[in-house]
Amino acid sequence: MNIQLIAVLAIFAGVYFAITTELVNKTAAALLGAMLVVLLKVMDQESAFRAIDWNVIFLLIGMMIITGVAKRTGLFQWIAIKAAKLARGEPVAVLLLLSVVTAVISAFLDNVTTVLIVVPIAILIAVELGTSPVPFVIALAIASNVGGTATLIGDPPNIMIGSAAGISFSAFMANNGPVILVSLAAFCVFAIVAFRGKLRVTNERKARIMEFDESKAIEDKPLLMQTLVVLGLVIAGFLVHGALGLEPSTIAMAGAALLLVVTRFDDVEGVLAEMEWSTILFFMGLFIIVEGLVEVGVMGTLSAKLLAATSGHASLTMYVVLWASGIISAFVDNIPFVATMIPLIKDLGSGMGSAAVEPLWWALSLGACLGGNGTIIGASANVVSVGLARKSGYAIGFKEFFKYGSLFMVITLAISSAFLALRW
Amino acid sequence: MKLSSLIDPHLVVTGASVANLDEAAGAAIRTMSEHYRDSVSFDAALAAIRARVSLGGTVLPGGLAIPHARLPGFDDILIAPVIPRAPLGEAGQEPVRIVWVMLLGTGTATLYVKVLSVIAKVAADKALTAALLAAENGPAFVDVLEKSGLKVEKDLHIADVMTSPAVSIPVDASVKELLDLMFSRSIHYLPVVEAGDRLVGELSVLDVIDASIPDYARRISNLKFMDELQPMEQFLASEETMKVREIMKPLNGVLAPADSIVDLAAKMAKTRKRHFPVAEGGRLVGIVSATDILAKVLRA
Repeated sequence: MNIQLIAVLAIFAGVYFAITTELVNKTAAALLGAMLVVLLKVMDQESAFRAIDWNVIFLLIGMMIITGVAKRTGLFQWIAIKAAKLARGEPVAVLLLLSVVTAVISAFLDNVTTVLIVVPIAILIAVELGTSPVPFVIALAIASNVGGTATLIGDPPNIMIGSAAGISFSAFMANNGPVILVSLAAFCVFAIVAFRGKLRVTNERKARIMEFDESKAIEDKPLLMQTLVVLGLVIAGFLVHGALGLEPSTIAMAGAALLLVVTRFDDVEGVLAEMEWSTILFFMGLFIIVEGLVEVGVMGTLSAKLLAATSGHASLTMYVVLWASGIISAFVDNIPFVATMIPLIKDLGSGMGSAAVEPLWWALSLGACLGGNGTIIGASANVVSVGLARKSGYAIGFKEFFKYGSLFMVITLAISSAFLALRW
Repeated sequence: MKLSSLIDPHLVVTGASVANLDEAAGAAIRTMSEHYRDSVSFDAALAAIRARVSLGGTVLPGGLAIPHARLPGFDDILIAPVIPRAPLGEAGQEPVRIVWVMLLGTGTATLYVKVLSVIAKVAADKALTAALLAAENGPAFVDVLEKSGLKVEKDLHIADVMTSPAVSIPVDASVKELLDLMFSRSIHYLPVVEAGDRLVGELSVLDVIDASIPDYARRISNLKFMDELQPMEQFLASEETMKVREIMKPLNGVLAPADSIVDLAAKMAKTRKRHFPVAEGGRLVGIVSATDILAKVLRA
């Protein structure tokens, strides 16, 4: 092994270690790692910057802007209250409806943003119902991970995979959509079994929920209407971006810019300031580090070994990728994991032919996204949801989450296996 | 500088036959306009004094009356102590024995407060006041002040503007006691103290409201859709058992009496906090608020 190879592996291991142990802020670690790759002349600055997938970066930025405006319309509160009233305050029904709502919202918005909006209102509804908010918080975190898996824009791993493999938005929906619909149905059954006994509510408390006036949650109707129109256009754009010959990031950024202009939004600075710039910089750093691994030949060697080990067993490879991704993502941030896997699968594709690796992309997407449900630290949405509950005085421990999350992860990975087996 | 050096003996009006503060101000302005013909016009100065008096705050507890005004284009300070033949004042109020009439320029924001704090010391000193009242004429009056050695501080400090002693709440008091105290005395801010006035925390009305709203409710952009909030009702129901300790905020900026006003102003602008506790060696000695700055510096 040459010095550069050792250096890059050491940087990579160090950054992974920092991300997992949270000894150093993960964005800081990724940026330092990326710059070390350039400083050690593994590649020049130009190649390093070119390694950044701008399609991913701008898609994230565009969606963050759209979400930043959309969450100020009160729409999501309106939906949540409407759902609770539709369930007539019956706690299990409220939990199921809120979970479905969360899954749908997070299919189109970032998971973390979704739980930041929905979890507080779910806790409020649970407290007003006089029942524990804990089942609600766990259910919504899981639902947001499940929903996010359905679309290209629902979860960052999908954004990366879509861009790297050139998979369109509609292809994502066609492949992951059915898996997620079945998983969501399974989740409803799962939630009823798991939480029914914990949710008992008096009629007086149910009546309180029915007193909520959801129409008052919407403060600025014109803003809501304009946002809905632009959001509709963006989703339509995503559905046909392949046919239009446009990348999803163009659609998202165009939608974001249009939204800021047509709504004459007076707090553009506020929306921009609230964006998760650290996530965006984290991505940039990761792209450079992973490119460093490719540059020194690690990915090529690994894929050659993997190819040799699985030659003739394409479907076995698919299952290995699905389950390994799932289990690894339950403990490790799925963003750097997917960023690392992408060049590996691309490399396999150059050996096996790109059609042959398509199932691997789906296996990676399903595994990385659904694996996030496995533990409390498996996905950002879990960390954020549990954090929100803790700040309101409801602690949820690792074991408590694991009891439900890991079981449901296994169920969804089994469902995914069945679908992959049917399709490929 | 010495207070005595700031007072022109010609401006001291002893044995004035005035029946109220307005007449006392009139007598002082007349003397000023006679001795400072070029810079003080009787009508304009008296009108300015009356306008300032109508804003309030020129009569302070302890029989201290300081009718004053700022004149545009005037760059001096004139102090005319008026000693009425009989003490002034309405029934039930402390009698005013010396009326300190002052004219200042518009550019001297802090000078008035510095002079005021020295005059307050004069008023608090019974023996000195008696000696001043006994003075037969202006030079004798100034001589008494000269001998007292009282000085006008060069800089304005927190100690000059703070409210002292401060009303505070013990850390073991109940939230009910806290709210009753705030309500009955119309105060928005209370330092929290342990035994021996040791400062340990602080609370504003907003902090109490804040404690009654759980984190999740604050994250929802508006709560217009509901009329009552369960945790808030619970909070109100438990105000007798809940202690100040449970809801107090950690100290966010503590000042020392010797700290500068400029520093305080900058702190207020930066933190948007309107009240600061003042402590010496960890012991609470006063509170300084944005209102103090308004009343004692900006509109002094």
